[in-house]
Amino acid sequence: MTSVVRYEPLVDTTTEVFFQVLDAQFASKGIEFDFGKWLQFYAFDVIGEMTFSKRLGFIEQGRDVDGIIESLEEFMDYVTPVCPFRVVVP
Amino acid sequence: MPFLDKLLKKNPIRLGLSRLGYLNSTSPVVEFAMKRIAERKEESTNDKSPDFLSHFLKAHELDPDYMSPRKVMAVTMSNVFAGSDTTAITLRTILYNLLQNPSTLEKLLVEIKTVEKENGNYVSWSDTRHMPYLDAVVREGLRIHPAIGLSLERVVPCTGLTIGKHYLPPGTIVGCNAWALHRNEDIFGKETDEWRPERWLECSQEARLEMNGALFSFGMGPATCIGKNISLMEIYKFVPALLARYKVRSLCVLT
Repeated sequence: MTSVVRYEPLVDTTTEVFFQVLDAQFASKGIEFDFGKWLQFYAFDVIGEMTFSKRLGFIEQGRDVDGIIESLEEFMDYVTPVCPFRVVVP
Repeated sequence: MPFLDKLLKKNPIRLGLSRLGYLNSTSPVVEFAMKRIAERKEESTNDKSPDFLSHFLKAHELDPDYMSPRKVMAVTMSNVFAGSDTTAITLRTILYNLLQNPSTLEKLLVEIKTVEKENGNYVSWSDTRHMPYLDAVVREGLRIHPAIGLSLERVVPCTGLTIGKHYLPPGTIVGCNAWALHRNEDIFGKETDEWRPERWLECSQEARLEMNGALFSFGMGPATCIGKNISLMEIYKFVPALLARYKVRSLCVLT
């Protein structure tokens, strides 16, 4: 567990950016929004920050950058029938 | 149906076209990663960033045969793919259930306030070690909606295996799905379909040990999720940080 503590500041920097964007776009104006989608943006950017020291840009751009999430969803749709299900019984 | 892969993505015609550049089968994350790796190579060698990529590239320098450029790319990609969606699913589960069950949200908010007084900024990872209700909330979230719903298959070794009354011969594929295991009332107590963080606090020490031993969201044993601690740190830190800062309200309260 001690080794992950080194990554803690990288989580904090992304959280800070995330909250700033939420403030500016939603909280300050009282706008309702799909938070599930934004949690996904957050999680992708934290991992980007930890992996590359560079966020993938989901939070700042507020969208699925380069279709990364979409491509992952397509991949999942593909591997579900291809991998875990050996046979299909009608 | 693994044969489908040979017909579809691993189709020799498709792979051939892709190799010749007629099809673009490169995922956007691979492109992003390739750019970052190229940047990193241009940067000075006394790079201070403590990120995963610098560790992977260091491993490549130390043992280029084992840690080939291809492998560097593979582990980088696994990091991004395996670490983001899964953590997001758990964060959603926790927030959704807290909002659907306001009494649990209330209890968590009380606990967050006590911690906040001690230091100004975000709740630190070490602070969260002293937040029993948060701990119960996170465990309940991992229990009620595991991000991975697969049976995590293993093969019985040459010695064979006896589980309960059943003998399984070598080579048998066995697995256990967290979704099924987490609904076991003998382990997790009554009403396992219900969101009840209290189940982690009200039980005996013994029962708690058993529940922790059966919390299978990250798998178990030698092949347990390698990103488990990173993901847990993210979840344990994010939930109190968010709730300390915002009043969150759900637009779809189910009855």
